[in-house]
Amino acid sequence: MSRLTRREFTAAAGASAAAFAAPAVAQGKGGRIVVVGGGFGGASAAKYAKMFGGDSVDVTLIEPNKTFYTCPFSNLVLGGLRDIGSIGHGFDAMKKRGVKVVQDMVTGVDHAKKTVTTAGGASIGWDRLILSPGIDFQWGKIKGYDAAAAEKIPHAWKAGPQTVLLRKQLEAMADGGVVILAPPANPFRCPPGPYERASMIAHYLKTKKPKSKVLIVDSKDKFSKMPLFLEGWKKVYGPMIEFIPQSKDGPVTEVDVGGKTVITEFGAKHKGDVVNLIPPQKAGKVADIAGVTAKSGWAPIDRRTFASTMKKDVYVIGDASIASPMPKSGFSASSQGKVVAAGVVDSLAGKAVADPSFANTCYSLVAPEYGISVAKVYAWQGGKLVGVKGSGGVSPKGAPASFRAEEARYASGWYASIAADIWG
Amino acid sequence: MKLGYGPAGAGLIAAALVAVAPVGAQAESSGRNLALSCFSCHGPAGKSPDTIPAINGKNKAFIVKEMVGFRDGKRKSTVMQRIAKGYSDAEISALAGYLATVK
Ligand SMILES: Cc1cc2nc3c(=O)[nH]c(=O)nc-3n(C[C@H](O)[C@H](O)[C@H](O)COP(=O)(O)OP(=O)(O)OC[C@H]3O[C@@H](n4cnc5c(N)ncnc54)[C@H](O)[C@@H]3O)c2cc1C
Repeated sequence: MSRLTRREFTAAAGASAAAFAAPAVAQGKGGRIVVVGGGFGGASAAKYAKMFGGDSVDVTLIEPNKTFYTCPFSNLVLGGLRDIGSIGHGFDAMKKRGVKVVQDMVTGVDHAKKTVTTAGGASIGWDRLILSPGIDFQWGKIKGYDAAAAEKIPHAWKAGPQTVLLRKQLEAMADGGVVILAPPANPFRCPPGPYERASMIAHYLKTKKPKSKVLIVDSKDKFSKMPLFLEGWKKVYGPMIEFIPQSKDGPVTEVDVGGKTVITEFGAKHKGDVVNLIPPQKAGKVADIAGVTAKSGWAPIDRRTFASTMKKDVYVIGDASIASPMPKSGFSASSQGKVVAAGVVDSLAGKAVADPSFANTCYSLVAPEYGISVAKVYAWQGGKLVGVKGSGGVSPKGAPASFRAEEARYASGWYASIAADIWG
Repeated sequence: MKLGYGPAGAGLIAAALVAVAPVGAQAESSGRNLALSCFSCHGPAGKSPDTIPAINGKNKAFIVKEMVGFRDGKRKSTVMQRIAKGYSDAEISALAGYLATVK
């Protein structure tokens, strides 16, 4: 890292970094690719950029955490099916592949000089910048909820310490307690995530604290795989999970942290023994810093290449981007990371960028032996990114237990595979 | 989707980045882009580390046969029949061609 820093400082001190970069691009040889964020999108992009570009590209991945904890399967940690260590991934394999991994936080982006600067004081030059910072929260949208409040009422919507905190609260709760889960309105990271979470918490309660219940106070009326979740909940948990749609009480607008109470627009107050509030979200802050976010808080892109429509030579992938009809999922982010890496390497080499193709499959566990899924294939058709007609969809309703068990097995297979594909 | 078509639909920035390439190269990179999705469930280069069947080291004809079987409902599955419906014959041929060569 210090070597890199010195080199880039020298570059910046001499001619502008952009001028410094120009010859490599003009010769069609490759160039410097900087990836921000070592999660699903960013780590995929960095690994595949190095694989496709080889020695012609200089790939740097910047991520503040030494170990990345995945949100996927963090619900299984809450349910007691996994420990937190099993969902942590490091960057040693990435380094072995020749990706420069910088453990730091990007705090500045200079588009004229084509550099990023970090909290640790490094300045790193790029020809192409790929941002995959995931989400940040819109603190203040829910009255009374901020970063400090999240230490008492966890969101656990970024995995790691927040996951452990919520798990500890569940363990400390007495039998007969009420766990409140308050999911946000659309759009947000992982549409089926809150409902898999309700399932996994209910599994834990059913096995350890059977008099307890899960109360979902939702800020919407409908959710991903809803009929399948409702079918599964009825079958496995009976009345243990209760769902209150926003049309009944209104969306959650306020939280009383000390009183462990969520308050809705229509004035309903729901008090829990454990409260898990998932607040409204936006693109990770570095996307704002880079000037690539719109008023909505998310980053508009050309959905063929994932190039920002606001800044040149900058790409935004994963949750931070507006990639509809693709959902904000780890699978989507990784799928985008790989294809965008290929496109960036090709464009640096002076080759045409091929049309993209993406896929998504989101598994959810209703119970350890009860899996359901939603899938879709995405293609570039008629100048648009579309979900391919007739592809994908959800698992069948009323399927036999053997089908659900097989999907549960494939869920864990998926996790092992995608983790190996990204961080392995 | 027709394979090997040019960057006509690209946005402004993309268009600026795109150079002209021979159609063969386009088809090849299209096969790659199509096949990259497979690895998210079947593991890197198709070498699955866990419960999902591995797809590495298969020849092109085999992969085409399996994909068409899933798509047309002759081959029963949990999710593959839903995935396979997303690809045309040309796309299945292109992705199978790439998968058969990847290491
Ligand atoms: C409970 C839950 C369950 C989920 N389950 C699934 C599932 O089963 N399947 C699925 O496909 N998806 C699932 N998801 C969704 C998935 O986690 C996200 O869609 C995915 O992580 C998005 O990838 P990303 O690269 O955009 O962001 P992330 O994976 O969050 O990665 C962003 C990274 O950027 C880093 N970063 C941020 N700012 C900076 C900066 N300034 N400088 C450097 N680095 C920075 C962060 O530290 C982070 O490591 C789930 C989500 C949740 C919350």
